[in-house]
Amino acid sequence: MLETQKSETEKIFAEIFAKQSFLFPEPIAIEAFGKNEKKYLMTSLTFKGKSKGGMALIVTENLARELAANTLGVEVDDAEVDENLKDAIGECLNMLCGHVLTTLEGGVDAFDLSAPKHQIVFPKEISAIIRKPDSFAFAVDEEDVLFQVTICQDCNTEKIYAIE
Amino acid sequence: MAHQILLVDDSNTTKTVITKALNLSGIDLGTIFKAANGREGLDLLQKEKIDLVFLDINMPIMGGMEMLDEMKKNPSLSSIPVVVISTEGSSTRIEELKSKGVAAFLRKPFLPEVLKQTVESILGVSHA
Repeated sequence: MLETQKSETEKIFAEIFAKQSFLFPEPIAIEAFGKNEKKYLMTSLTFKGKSKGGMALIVTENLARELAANTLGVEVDDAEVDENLKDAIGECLNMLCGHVLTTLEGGVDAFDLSAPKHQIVFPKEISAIIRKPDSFAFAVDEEDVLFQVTICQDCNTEKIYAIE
Repeated sequence: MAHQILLVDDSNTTKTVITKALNLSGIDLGTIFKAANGREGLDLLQKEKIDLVFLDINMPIMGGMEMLDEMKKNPSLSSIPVVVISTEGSSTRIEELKSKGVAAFLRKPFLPEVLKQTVESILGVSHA
């Protein structure tokens, strides 16, 4: 990804978080992500169209609950958050994917997105995913979050976020 | 007159957000029906009197584009206005939706005010 595209991607990430859930992420170094023993929710999807690939959103449980609660307009301990947690994070990733693809791939071609998949992970289990070239780390309300973008032509999209 | 709305989206979060925005809009609403895919949406359209459909594009079983095609083939459904709600904003997709006669296209995330204005404009109502 070119530097201008990286900058666009960071901007889109911040805008979607602010509009969807009134959260305001600040970019941090990739090395600063996952420096704790917390569990994370990794949500990923694949896409195909002019190009293909995948995107993943990796958030702590606290941030996932805050994001879902703000999206739904309820408190973080509301039962509605428990019922819709994964769905809300999947929708957030869906929005990120739609906006990033429209911006980075020229805004002309349509893409088909897969349904989001969810996994509970520890950072040490996904170090290869964190180290991928186009990974973006952010801090939001003292929690960290990682957004990973992989755009390719001939890759096997099913393997992009496989945990080895 | 109370307007009946159908939400067709596989995301419960999106349906909840739209329902809350509609309920706060002041528009006179009847039942807000919900479907998780195009097939369920078509079934509800056959059973209920619906004034406006909110439709997602990417869904399992039957997606939004296919549901639109099925609605256009059926004379009793073809005149029901459809608002497509999607994350995607490609010119190809928007042109395709225009050619299928979609009443409006809203890109997620959207503000509740935009949703309200869109519904008021299509249904020809003003808020209470």
